[in-house]
Amino acid sequence: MADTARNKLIYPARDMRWFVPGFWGWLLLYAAPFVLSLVTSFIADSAEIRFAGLDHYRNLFGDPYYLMSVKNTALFLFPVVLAVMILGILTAQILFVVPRLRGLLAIFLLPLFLPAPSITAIWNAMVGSGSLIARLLQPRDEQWKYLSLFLLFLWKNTGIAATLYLTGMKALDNAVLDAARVDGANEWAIFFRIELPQLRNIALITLLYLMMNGVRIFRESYMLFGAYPPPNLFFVQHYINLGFARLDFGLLSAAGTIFSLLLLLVFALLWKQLRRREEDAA
Amino acid sequence: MIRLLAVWDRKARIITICICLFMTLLLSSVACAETDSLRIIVTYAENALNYPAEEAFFKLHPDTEIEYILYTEEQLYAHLQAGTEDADLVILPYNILVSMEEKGYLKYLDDAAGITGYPDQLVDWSEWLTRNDRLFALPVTVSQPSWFWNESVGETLGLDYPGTKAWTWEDYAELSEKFPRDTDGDGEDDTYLMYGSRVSAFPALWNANTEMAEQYIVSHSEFNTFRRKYLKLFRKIVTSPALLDMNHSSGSDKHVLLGINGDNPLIFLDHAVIGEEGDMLFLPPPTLDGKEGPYFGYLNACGMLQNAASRELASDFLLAMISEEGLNYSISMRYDKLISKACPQWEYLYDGPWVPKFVSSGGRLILRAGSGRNLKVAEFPYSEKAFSAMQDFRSRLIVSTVPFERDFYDALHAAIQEWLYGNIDDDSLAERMNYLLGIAANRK
Repeated sequence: MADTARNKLIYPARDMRWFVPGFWGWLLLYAAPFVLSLVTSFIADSAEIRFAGLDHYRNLFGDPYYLMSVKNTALFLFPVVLAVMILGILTAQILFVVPRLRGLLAIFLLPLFLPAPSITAIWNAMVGSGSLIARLLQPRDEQWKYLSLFLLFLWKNTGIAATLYLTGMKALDNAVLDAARVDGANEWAIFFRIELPQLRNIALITLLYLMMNGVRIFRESYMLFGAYPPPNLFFVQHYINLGFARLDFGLLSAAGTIFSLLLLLVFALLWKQLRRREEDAA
Repeated sequence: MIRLLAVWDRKARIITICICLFMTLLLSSVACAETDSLRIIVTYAENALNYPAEEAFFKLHPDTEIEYILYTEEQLYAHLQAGTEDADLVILPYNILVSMEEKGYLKYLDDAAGITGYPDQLVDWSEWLTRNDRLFALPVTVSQPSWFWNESVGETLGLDYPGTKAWTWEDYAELSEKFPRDTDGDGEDDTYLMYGSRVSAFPALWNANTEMAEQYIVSHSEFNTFRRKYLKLFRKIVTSPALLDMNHSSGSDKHVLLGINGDNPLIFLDHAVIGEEGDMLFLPPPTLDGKEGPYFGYLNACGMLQNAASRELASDFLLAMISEEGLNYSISMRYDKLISKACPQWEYLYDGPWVPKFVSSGGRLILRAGSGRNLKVAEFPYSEKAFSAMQDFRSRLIVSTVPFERDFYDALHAAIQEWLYGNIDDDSLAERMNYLLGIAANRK
C-alpha cells in the first residue's frame, strides 16, 4: 500500500526528467519565437518600437491578397489531403490483400527520403514550363501548375499514408476477418464493414500528419514556382514571404499568428477526436 | 551542483577562473579593435568595390579599416527584424533601401553627415534618393540597359544609323517588318533584327522581345492602360518573325542588327561621338511615347544606419564619396559606378575577379580594405563628350520600388507565353499582370 502511494508520487516526477530537455527545446525553438512573433504583431512596422494595437490585424483582413492566400491555402490543402487519404488506404488495402506486393512500399516511400531540391528538380524537368511535355501540350499555366503541385504531394505522401494504414490493418484481429470470410463476405465488404471502422484512429493520425505536411508544401511550391506563383497557388506563406521582403514585420507576424492559430484549432479538434476515440475504446 | 563543485579541486577552479578572465580580456580587446573599423553591409559583392571613395576616406583615416559584410537579403531582413544589424553603412539595391527609409532604419544625411540637399556634383538622381527634400542615400551604382546598332549589318542592309534620339516601339515594329533577310542569296534567312528573349524556360519567347511590356510594368502600378493602348502593338512585336531564336549562338552564321547591353553604354557612345571605327553604336531603348526617357535601370545606393556605431567614420566615408578626389577617379571596366557630372581624369586599374572575393570570418562573409594598397592608376580612357552623353542618358533613369527579381520576371514571362499560346485572352493577361504587380507591391 505504502509502495503504491510512493510510486504514484515518485514515478511521474522521475518521468518528468526525460521530458525536461525536450520541453526546453520546445520553449526555446517554438514557444519563444511564437511569443516574439505575437508581440511583433502589435508593434508598428518601424525601426522605433511603437505600439500599433490591432492595426496589423485590421490591415490584414482588409487586404484582398491576404484573404486570397488564406482561401488558396484551404482550397489546396483539403482536396489534396483527402486525395492522399483515399489513395493511401486503397494502396494499403491492395498491399494487405496481396502481401507479395508489399515490397513496393519501399518505392512509395522513396520520395519521402529525397531532399526537397532533388524532388523539385525532378518535377521541374518532368512537368516544368520548359519541359517537353509542357511544350507539346501547351497547357494552361494555372491549372497545369496546380495539378503538378497536387501530383507532387500525392507522390510524396501516398507511401507514408499507405504504410500507416497497413500497420493498422496488420493489427486487426485476424479471427474477425476470417469469420467474415467464412460467412461469405468478399474482400471489399470486409474492407468497408470491418477494416475501415477499426482504422478510424489510424485515419485521424494520418490526417494530422498529412495536414502538417500539406502546410509545408509551400517549400516545394516556392522551389518550383518562386515567390510569384499563379494566382491559385498564392499561399499564406507566399504572403508572409513577400511581407518579409518589404520589412512589414508586424504585418507578417500578424498573418503568421492567425495562420498558426487556425492550424492549432484544426489540430486541437483532430487531437480531441483522437483522444475521445481512445477513451471510448478503453 | 554543490556536490559537483565540492569534487573539484582548488587547482581546477583557479584554471577555470583564469580561462574566464582570459576570454573576457580577449573579447574586450576584440571589441576595442573593432571600434576602429567602418562596417558596411552589402547584399551584392560588387558593391564592395569602391576604390575612389575608399582611397579618399583613407587619406582622412589612414589607420582605419573598412569591413564589408556580405549578407543575403534574407539575412539582412532578419537582422533588421531582430535589431542586430551591426554596421554603420549599407550599400543596397534601391528597393531595399527605400523600404528601410520608409521604416525609419536610415538616418537623413543632413543630420548624419551634414550633406544638405542632393549634391550638385552628382548626376541628378535626386528624385530617387530624397524624401521631402531630405537626402537619405548617395548613389553608388547605376546600371541602365541600353541598346546598340551594328553598323556593318546596317550598311549591308542599306539602313542608316538612326542616331541617339529617342524612338518609339512603333518605330521598332516598323523596322522589324524588314526582317528576317537573306543577304547572301542562298535562299536561307541569315540576318535578323535582334536575338529573342534569353528565357530558356519559355519556348514561346525564344524569338520574341518582351521588353515593351517589362518597360511599362516597372513604371506603372497597373496593366489596364497597357492592355487598352498598347497590347495590339505588343502582340505585333512579340509575334514578329524578325528575331533570331535565342538558341543560336553568337558564333553562328546569322547576324543581328540590334543588341541589348545590360551594363553601360560608354564604349558604344565613344564610337558614336568621336567617330572611331567600330561596329556597335549606342541606341537608346525604344519608349512608349517617343519621349527621351525615362529609361529603366537599377540603382544601388549608400545610406547610414540609424544605430551606426561609428557615426563619424560613416559620415566621412559618405563625404569621401562626393569629394573631389572621390569623383575624379573611376574603376576600370566598372563604369556603372560613375556618378559625377564631370568626367573623371583617372581610373584605378582593377585586376581582381569580377565579383570581389569575401572570406568567412566569425560566421559572416567579410571583405576588408585598408590604406596603402598601392593601386595602379591610369588616365580615364574615354572622351569627355562620350562621358557626358552617357551621363545624359543615365540621368533619365527610372527605378522601381518593387523588388522585381527573377521570380517576378519568370511569372511575367509565363503569363505572356500563355497569352501567346492562346490559353488566356487579353483581359486575363491584364488580370494576371495586375495580380503580379499587386502582390509585388502589395498595393491595396
